[in-house]
Amino acid sequence: MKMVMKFGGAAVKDAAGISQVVKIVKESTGKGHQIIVVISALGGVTDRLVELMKNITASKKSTIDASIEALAAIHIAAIKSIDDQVISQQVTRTVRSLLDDLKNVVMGISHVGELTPRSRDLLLSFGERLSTPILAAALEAEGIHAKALTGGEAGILTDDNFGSAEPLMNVTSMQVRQNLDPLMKDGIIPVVSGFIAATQTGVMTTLGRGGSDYSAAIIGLALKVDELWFWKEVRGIMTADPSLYPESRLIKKIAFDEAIEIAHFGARVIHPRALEVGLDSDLIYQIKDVWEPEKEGTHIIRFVDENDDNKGVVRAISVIDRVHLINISGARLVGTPRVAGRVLEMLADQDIDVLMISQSSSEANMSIAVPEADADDAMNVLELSLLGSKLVREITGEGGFCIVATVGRGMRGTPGVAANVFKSMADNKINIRTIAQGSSELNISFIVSRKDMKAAVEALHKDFKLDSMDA
Amino acid sequence: MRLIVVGFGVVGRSSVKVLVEHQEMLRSRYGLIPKIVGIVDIDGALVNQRGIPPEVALSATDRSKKMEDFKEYFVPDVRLNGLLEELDCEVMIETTPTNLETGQPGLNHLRAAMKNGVDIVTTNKGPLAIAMPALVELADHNKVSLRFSGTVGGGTPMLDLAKRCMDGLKIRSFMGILNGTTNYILSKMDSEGVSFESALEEARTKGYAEADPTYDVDALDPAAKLVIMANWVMGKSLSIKDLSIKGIRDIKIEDIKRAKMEGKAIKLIASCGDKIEVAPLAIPRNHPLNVSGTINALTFDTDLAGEITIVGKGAGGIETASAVLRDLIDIRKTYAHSSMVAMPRILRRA
Repeated sequence: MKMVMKFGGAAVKDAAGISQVVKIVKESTGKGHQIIVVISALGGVTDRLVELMKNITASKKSTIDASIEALAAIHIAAIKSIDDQVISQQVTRTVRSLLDDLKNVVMGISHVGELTPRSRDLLLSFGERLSTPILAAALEAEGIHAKALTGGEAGILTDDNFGSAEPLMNVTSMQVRQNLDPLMKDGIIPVVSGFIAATQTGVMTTLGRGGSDYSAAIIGLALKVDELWFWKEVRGIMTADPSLYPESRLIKKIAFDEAIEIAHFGARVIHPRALEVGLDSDLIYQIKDVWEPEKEGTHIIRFVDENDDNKGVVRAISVIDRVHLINISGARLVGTPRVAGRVLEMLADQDIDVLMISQSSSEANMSIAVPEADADDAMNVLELSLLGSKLVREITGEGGFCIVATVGRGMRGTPGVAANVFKSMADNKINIRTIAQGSSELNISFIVSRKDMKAAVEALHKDFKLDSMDA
Repeated sequence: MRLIVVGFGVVGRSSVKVLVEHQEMLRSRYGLIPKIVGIVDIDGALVNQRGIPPEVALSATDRSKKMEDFKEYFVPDVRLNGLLEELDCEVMIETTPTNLETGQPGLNHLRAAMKNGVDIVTTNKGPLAIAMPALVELADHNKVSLRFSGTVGGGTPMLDLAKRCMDGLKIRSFMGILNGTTNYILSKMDSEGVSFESALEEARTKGYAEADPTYDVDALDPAAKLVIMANWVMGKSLSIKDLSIKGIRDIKIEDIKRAKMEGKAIKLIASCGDKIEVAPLAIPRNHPLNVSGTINALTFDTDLAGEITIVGKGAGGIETASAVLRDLIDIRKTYAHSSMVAMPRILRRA
């Protein structure tokens, strides 16, 4: 089987993590699988780079030196997993020279006193550029031929939208095949840096949040692999957040569109962008626990077999905590279609994520849910721009809410699901403030008070018989 | 319009010839004043930023002349990428030989042009047969025009007929004869009853077949054209490696005779419908595709207008150069009509 294995930063934060990854790769190749490895920066490294960047323009040479020494320490410690002296010395030199480059970049930015999106991407790219050769060396030391490649070297070509670059998929697919197929033919495992890519002129770009998962998906699609395995520090996607409901179960098999819904609802096991790549493909994704590799995780596939016993009407209960509800009312909203558009536009301009909207068809009233952290900004901008306009009589805000969502493709076309959801809430005396259901019918979301959050999850989990799913 | 011609074989030379000989018509009818700033080939280049004088360019198209004969303009060992960065030009005319294994050197030439914001007219099937989806995507990303009328049907506007004259129609399928050499061979076998080998030999002496006829008789040439047609006209995303391809090497004179008895003729047909393939096929003798000699023909099956067939010469230096001319005029029009975004690099920069 040909597969991409993606290892996240949490999994590879130290020598023990690297050794575990080597063990997993070795076992898989031993079984005759063809592997392409995609790896994030070592755990915590990207955060340190972000930190370094934040005060870069103000910082003095001494603090820069200290930050880079701290980064050096993390990577040198990770190299300790490599027993082979020659290889270990070699990769230490590589890492040292990359750190010198990093220092030059940082000094350069510091001198210019300005951090452009382009130099930001260059700086962030060092996390993955440092981790990749270490893993490749660790594999080599175990007798597995491996070659470290940056995303750009692997062939991922993006536009120049720095910070959140989008790959040119056709060019990328062609180049990835051109660059990786010959390596694999020679029995060499490509170890590719996730998150980073390059423009057509070779300038370093990054793929944005969750970029490493995205890289793995892009490479998997290009090489038409059989499966993509995302190695995480959790076993997979759960029916509910275990911290809210300890009885939640592992979902063994789920469809891409369902997984995307769940991923959007805060369960950041795998990034939605990586899932979207799989949506129209025949790829199979698996999420597995790096520390318990023999255990089955979650399979994400194109559709779940209709006769699957595992299939319920509702697959998972997701929650977005700490939500602020804004209510815009005024009789004049009726028949003035621009208000809703303006509201969304203004919030978007402020970079405020609108989590949910609901508007009655009388249009006299509109409710918007935003993250609590953005609540003050949102209220402020709406008050300033709408209150004087005569269209809006009143804007009120209320905190202390959460969004609960039931997700499942089985809800599609099944009458009575919403009724059951709300009956379940009524039976538990949980008041629902606002409701939304997309026409895809993949999820029903509603807003309840935070104090009812656990009770709501528990009630839904029980009433939709998610407890009885075999784990 | 400042042009750089890359590849100076039959098509490259013919293109320069046509451009020089028809400059008056191009100027008066289309406001297109071709200025050739570079002619690049494997053994060097002729370069002049202010334009190689037309009489020099014309004289260089003479097969007996070598590039180094034009000392004033001759530059040995040029790298196209560097040249494109140095020279200001709006359009590259790419006419290097087709390579259907790697697409090179054409593929690199196209990418270099795109990187430098230079619009492209190409007659080279190789890069498109191998990487058309990627190239179209890159052209779009770099906002350059990528025109390739001359890759299919020589001077016969097969691509444009489908793309421009069939608005509102749904093309259900198309099939046709996209290779003149094999059609010549099959016609010869049919009309004179000669064997494949002797028909091929005759095609060689007449200059229709090359010394190595592999691309023709093993149907790789029509397959490349089919890839381009299917991608461009039918919105597929194919490479030549995805196609089922069968040539005419195994066609025996007995097969031809048997078909004839049944009122049919064996043709090498490229088709895009349920299946996308190139293979010899017996078609009724009164079928519009039953053309003989080196002629190409293509029939589109459309939902509203029924079958539409286009017939014409499928190859030839001057014929293909006419397709280059068409593409250049078309690019000229986009400069005149569109906003700054579609402007050539030099105007965008201003």
